Formats: sequence, structure tokens, C-alpha cells
Amino acid sequence: MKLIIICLFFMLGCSSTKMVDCYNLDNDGRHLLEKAKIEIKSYYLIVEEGDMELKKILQFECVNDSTIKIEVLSSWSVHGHFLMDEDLKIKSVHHSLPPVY
Amino acid sequence: MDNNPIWYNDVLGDDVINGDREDADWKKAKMDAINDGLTKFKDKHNINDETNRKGFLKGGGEKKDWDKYKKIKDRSKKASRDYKYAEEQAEITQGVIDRWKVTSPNLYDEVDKQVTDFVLTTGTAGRMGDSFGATTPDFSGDRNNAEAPSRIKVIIAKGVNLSSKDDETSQFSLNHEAGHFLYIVKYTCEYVKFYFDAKASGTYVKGGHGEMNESGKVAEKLGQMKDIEKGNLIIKETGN
Repeated sequence: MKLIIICLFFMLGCSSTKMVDCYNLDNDGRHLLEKAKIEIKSYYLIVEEGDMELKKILQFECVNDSTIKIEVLSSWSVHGHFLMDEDLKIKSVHHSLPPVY
Repeated sequence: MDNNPIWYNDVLGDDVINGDREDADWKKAKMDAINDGLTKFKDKHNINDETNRKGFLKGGGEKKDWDKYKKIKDRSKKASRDYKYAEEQAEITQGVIDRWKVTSPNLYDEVDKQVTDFVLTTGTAGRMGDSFGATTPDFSGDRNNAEAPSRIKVIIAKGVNLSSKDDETSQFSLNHEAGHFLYIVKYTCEYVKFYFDAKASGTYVKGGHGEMNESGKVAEKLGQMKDIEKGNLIIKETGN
């Protein structure tokens, strides 16, 4: 699955809007590609995926003042989360497998 | 907790983490930021707690500013409620961690010393669906060369009974989840390969307890034990 991102960053009353590099998050992640849009709304990010105009919901949490962890919820074929550094560039990609009980 | 500077500075390099505490801290930061914005907005527009809409407009204020003020106030109230709930949840989770440390000290130490964080949250019916506990396997890097992640999330029912087996599972349920966790962090690459191979062949059994799922076997074994013998836990790649 290919997901290409431009991130419009606004949270917690932050007045600035920030752009981040665009990444393709396929199963192995980390390939730089074209663009889509992430909009941060409350605890969720809504991602528009290229021309398909599909909306996926990602959950994010603040790791510290400058880093957000974004976790792909179960609608994704391969789950995962990635970290952004203070320049809002993706720092690392983790993948999650289905839960075990 | 590992020493990845993206996360935290942890000189010990290990930890059982209260995931609900992290959530509560985050919600507090959000609440504080919203309240700070509310204070600034009130100062800018000469609004105090006694100010009403009629007085604001009569004093030269604009309707759009009053509407914005109401929205920020509503957000502030919601953020306060969210934080209060998260704080209560964090205290419940801390109670579970503290009790687990006493009831299963050797297993707790085994989990605690892993480089991967054991990030525990406690669940309610709405949060967990039908399950009493769950562990989310996670890995870093490429699936063909997977490495243990910095943290793995574990959720357990908030009513977990640590001093004896739970009626719902007939096991020590948190120890069961620790079994999944310990296998997966020790054999991350093998587990990831097993998962993708089983998925490709259509033999993967959801839930982690298929015949070939070694993490499930370790979970079953530890779920029957109140504690392990100190320093004597053997987890094999296969044949557990």
C-alpha cells in the first residue's frame, strides 16, 4: 500500500502551519514519494491518499514537545507507526502485527 | 525503556511503563495549552468570568469573538474532563503494576530487564472488546530483518486478579501476556517471519494461539504460573 504525505501541522492552538517531506509508507516504509495530506484533528489525523481520495484515520500521540508518534489503525493492511523528529521529518518506522490474546 | 533519544532519556535502559500515565501526561499538556489560549483570549478581549454575552456586545465586542470565546471554553471543559478520566485510568494502571511487582516479582524483573519497554494500559469493555488482555507485536526495520522494537503495548482488564487466576481466563492473565511479550522480543525476526509465512499460506490463526505460534505456547505456560523461578526461564525458538 502506498501512502504519500504532505503534513499540514497544526495542533494545540499552534499558529504555524508546517510542511513535512513526503513519504511512501508501504510495507517496508521509508520511500520518499509524492503527496497526500494529513490534517490533524484533535487526536486523529485524516489522511487523503493521492488521487483515490480515501480517508484513513491515524492515531497520534505527543511523545515530547517536538515529536509526534503516529500510529496507523486497523484499517491498514499492515499496521505501523512512525516517529517524526523536531523538523517533522519521519525518523523511524515501526510495524505492528495483529494483536495476540 | 531503551535509550532512543526520540523517546526519553532512561539511563537504566529498561522498564515496565505505565502507558496510561503517558496518556494522562499528554492530556494534561493539551489541557494546559488550551487553558493558556483561553486566558490569553480573555485578556485580549477584556473578558472575565462574570462577563456575559449581552455585556460583551454592549461594551463594543464583536459577535464572532464571543462565539470564538464560547468554543474555546467548551474545548477547555472537554480537555479537563478528558484529563480527569485519563488520570484516574493512570492510577488504576499504576496499581496493577505495583501489585504485579509483588505477586510475580521474578517474572516482573524478567520483563523489566528487556530492552523493549512493556507499555501497560488497563482496559474496560469498550476499550478491549471481548478480550481480557492483548499484546500487540511490533517490530522495527524491514520485515526480512526485523528487530525488537523500542516498546510493545500490552493491555489488560482493569479488574485483573494478580494474586490468583482470573475466572475469565482460568489463568494468571497478565503473566500470560508477559509470555507473549517475552517470546516476541527474544525472537522478533523469527516471529515476524512466522507471521508473514503463515499469512501467505493462509494458515495464520488469529489471536496468537495457532498450533505453530510459539508466543502462544509461552503465554499458556506462564499463564499457569504465579511466578517463575528466578533466573531460570527458558524460552526456545520452537518447541516451547
